[in-house]
Amino acid sequence: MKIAAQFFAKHRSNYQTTIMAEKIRVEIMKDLEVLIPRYLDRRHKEVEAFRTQLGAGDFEALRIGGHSLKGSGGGYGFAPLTKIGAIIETAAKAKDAAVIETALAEYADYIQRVEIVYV
Amino acid sequence: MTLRALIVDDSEDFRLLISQYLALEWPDAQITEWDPVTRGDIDDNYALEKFDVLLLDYVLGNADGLDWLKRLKRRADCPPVIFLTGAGSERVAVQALKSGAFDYLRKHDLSKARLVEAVRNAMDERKATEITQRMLRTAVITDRTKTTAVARLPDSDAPDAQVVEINGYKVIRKIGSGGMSSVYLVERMQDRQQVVLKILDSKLCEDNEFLMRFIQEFGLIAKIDSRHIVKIYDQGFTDRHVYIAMEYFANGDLRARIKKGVKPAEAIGLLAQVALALKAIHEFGIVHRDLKPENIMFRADDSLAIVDFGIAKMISDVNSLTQTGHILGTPYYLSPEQAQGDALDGRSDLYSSGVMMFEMLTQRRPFTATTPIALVNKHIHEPVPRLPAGLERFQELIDKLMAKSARVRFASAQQLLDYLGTLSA
Repeated sequence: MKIAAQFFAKHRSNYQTTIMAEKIRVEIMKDLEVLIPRYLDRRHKEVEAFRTQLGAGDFEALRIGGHSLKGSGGGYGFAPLTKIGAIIETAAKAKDAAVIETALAEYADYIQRVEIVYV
Repeated sequence: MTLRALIVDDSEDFRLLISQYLALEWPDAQITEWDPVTRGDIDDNYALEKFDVLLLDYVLGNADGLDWLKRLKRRADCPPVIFLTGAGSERVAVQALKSGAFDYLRKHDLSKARLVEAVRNAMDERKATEITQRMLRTAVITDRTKTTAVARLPDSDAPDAQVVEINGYKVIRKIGSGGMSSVYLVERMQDRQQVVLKILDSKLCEDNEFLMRFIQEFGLIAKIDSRHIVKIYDQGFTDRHVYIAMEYFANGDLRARIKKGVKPAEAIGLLAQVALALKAIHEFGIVHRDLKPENIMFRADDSLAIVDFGIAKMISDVNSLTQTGHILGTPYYLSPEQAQGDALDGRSDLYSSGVMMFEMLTQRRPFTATTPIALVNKHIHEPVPRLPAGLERFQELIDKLMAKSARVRFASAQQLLDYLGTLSA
């Protein structure tokens, strides 16, 4: 419980938004409907992979993964993922685990709450 | 016409995204995905001629996309390359264009429309290049029978340099060389008139993009009969060279005038002549895109003409080309819309002439910066600079030439001329 409290205190801003649990509605071109479920599925797995890499101190893998996320997020219509990817890439270069941890919390929160509307 | 595209990107997600967009537009498209992390380098034996376009990411795992670009562009079979850059990588985009990329796209705000337009332009470029190469091959075959060595020019200053041979001209001296060509003062044998020969660097004759630009320069200017536009006399091919014979300017360029100092009244007169030149080319639907003091030349009678149409474009081409972010031109004189890769019209040239006017009046450039990107940002965002005390009466002129929004500028070179008329009165 104490650990959880510390964790929530550290990431208060993220978890406030999560607790409010409002969905983030994102409009995506219908043309991409065939790609989006797989893309988001890979993002869920990627959060876990990033956490494992962070735990192992594998900053090079995080840099490459962050760069890739930065490149793909906006293109698919998820602009916040581009920003999160850029933060992870930059922080990985600086081996700044704390910043990556925060970014991963934001990453997880975002993909949890995102709701797709095809237009 | 179906599309044959090669996508080189280490992100499978992004390769899939591009493939999907392309397949939606060209259902029969033949798309090849290349993951540089698992497949490694594209070696010299891998045929690139089978592709209409190559989409190349700027970071390829641990490799640098710019290095790949430079290497691939050295190959004769390399198709137009659309370089994929990330957020905040404008410097990389500029480097890519300088390294031979046809265009660039920012990955973070990629849309189907932007991608399709860039790819269409690249396909057109590929087609035009093939036509040019065919034309050149025919020209060389035709010319081979009649070429005799009269003008002999060293290809470079190196002692063992190859010799350029151009029929009908006698070399007087080398005037200079730029990024893509060397310029010689020569005497035309038929009438002993001094003319300038602009000769495309022999190494670049094999580079399709440079060749297209060089040939285009002749095609664009030859259409115009204006005293304020450089006269083009001839264009030709030899076995190894492409050249343009053009008017010689004995009295140097505007850069030298500015160094000596230009009085305000003289500056107005010079700007009026530039406006006449712009009126002539804009009426033909041409945007110069690289107006700068080095491209304003003076004849012996001190009349002025615009030269160097190497990156000029027909307005219709400019719009389709630049909407996808193609930036060319000298950063000191770049209009905000050109800097942002937006659609251009004649008002972009008016902006550049405003920068030159500011420089003529003050002997300094309105915007300077330590990096090209910082300079470009100033053109886009910084307010039009104020003229120093004593020159306030020209501020409105500068404001109407250098307004950030083209809509606020003079609508045409004619409108500028009309305004200058009221200043002189």
